[in-house]
Amino acid sequence: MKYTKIIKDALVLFVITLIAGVALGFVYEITKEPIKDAKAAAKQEAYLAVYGDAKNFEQNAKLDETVKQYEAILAEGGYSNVTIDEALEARDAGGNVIGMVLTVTTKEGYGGDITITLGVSKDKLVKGMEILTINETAGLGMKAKEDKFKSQYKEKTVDQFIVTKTGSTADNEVDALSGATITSNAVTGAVNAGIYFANAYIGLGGEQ
Amino acid sequence: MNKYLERLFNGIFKENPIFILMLGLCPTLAVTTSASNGLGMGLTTTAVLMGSNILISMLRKAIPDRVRMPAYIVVVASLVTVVQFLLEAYLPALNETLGIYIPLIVVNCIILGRAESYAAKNTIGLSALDGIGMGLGFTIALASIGAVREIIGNGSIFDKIIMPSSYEPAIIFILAPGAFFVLSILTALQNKFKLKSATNGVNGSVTGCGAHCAGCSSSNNCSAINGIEEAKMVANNAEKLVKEKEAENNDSLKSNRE
Amino acid sequence: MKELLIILIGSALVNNVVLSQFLGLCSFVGVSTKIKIAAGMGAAVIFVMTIASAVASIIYDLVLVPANLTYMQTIVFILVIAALVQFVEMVLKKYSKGLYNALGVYLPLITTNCAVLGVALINVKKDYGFVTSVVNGIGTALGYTIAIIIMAGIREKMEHNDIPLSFKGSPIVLVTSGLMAIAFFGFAGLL
Repeated sequence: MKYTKIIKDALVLFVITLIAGVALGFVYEITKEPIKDAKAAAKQEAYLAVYGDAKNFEQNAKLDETVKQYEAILAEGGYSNVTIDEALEARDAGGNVIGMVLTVTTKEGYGGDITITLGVSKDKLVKGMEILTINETAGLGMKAKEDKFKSQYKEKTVDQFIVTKTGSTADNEVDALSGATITSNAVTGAVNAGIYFANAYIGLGGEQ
Repeated sequence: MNKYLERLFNGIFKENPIFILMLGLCPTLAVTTSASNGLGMGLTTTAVLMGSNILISMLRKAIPDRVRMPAYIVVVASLVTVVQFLLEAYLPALNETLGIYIPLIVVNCIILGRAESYAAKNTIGLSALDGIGMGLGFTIALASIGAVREIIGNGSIFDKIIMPSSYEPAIIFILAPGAFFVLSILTALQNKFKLKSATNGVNGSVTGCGAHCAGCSSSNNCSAINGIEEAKMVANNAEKLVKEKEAENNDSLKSNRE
Repeated sequence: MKELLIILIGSALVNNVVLSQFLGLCSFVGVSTKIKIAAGMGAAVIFVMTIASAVASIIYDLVLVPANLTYMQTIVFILVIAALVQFVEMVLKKYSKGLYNALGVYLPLITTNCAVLGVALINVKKDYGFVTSVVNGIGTALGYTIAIIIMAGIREKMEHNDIPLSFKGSPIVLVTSGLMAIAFFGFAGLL
């Protein structure tokens, strides 16, 4: 008597779990596409934000090949803890390659990884920087998302940005976010790695 | 119709989960760095709460009493995952900001608490309204805590700067300590106004977020909504144990001396 | 090795579960009345959280990922943790009376302690492997224990203080937590 009751209870629980699992799988299948689209749309938007002059962004076999070797390239420049996730050619309305957009992730954020996108033109001009994912402290590191910080990288031709706490005086100096030096350094490191990679690609004879 | 309306407003005013019942502390503190974050979290929780109340009310006759807690957890966890997919697909920015606190809605005691104390005993319609009411109450509370923190800590509300530029924001209020301070003051105010009726005024109706919901499956007569109270009971039991042990040690010491 | 140490210190002190991530707050407020009890709770959390991180990591890597079911993580983790706590309770009761007497009373509190589920989810989110997950679990639990014991120490002293009536109970505990959180900011310089 008691055992049949336990079995019945267990069976009901099992059926509920099964139905829940199947339902979840179903919803997962339905939302898979929209999630992918949302991510792609967010990326496209970020690319346009960092490279307003470009019309579309395309893959390039040589560029993809270079991205695969990013570790060796960045090591030469002394960048560690940074990965180049993706690089696409930026083309203008006429289809001419005018530069590239990169997705760069740094592990050196205060609250974990920070992923940025970066637009670099053929003549080494940084066109813009946007933050894709960031998980820093609200009110401090999160301010990296504000235009005031991001615009410091915009439209500048430098080899390397340097974070300063005393107010930037030169083109290559970036004002640190107050109370969030780690975040400022992490983002700047990612930008520098991106610039280094883009320049190295041009140096390798990448058709830009 | 009246009793339905009554249900809806019960959660918003009479039994507001945060201000009156002090439920769901963790997200209350963690995501209220701005008014819009609080609002987003509140609405997400409302959706889950409504869904779980409806489903559990529907299943209330099918779920055997002994396995009800695991069954509720399965239902709530699936709903939370569904909501997470929807957010990821249609509101990716919100999903990004709330992050890990969305799956953690599963262990928010408001959800299991309402399932246990209301949805398991009432009809679908009433349970749905109860869920919406409680959820909206939670939302209003979260959004207002978020608003207070955002105004003091960032000089803005819903991302619009409202304070004059001469105002230097007290950043501490959107950092972790500020969350504790704001909630502490709110709780103190609540104690203050309850003092007249409360017998001793000390932590009058202060319970807490989901400490012990699933633990209830082992005992029958426990209400799932008593987070901190439950923890206090455990603390008392532990204290008794410690004392007994000390007494035993003393006894054996004495007998040794003798 | 260095990385593991950084994770350990990071999760124990810099990103303290209770004081900066607000997880496990209810038991933190409820059980921090006496140092001895707080220490017991801390020990129980260390015990369960370490095992839970290990088990969750194994299940995630060996079952969910190969079966392409990673989207079921929330539901699987919470069930695994609930079952695990019951199981640990049973095993302790049967084989280790001493340990059961010391930790048993706290175990039911841990089942839905958001910190345990939180750690499992963070481990997955940050792509931690098995060893890293376990280290992160231990670190987080240590952080919880440190915070709750300090809090209990302060509360024992606070009993003799003259606190405004409306601040007695939870409000003063929350104010104290806030001040502790400020103090813990100091650890940020460690990394």
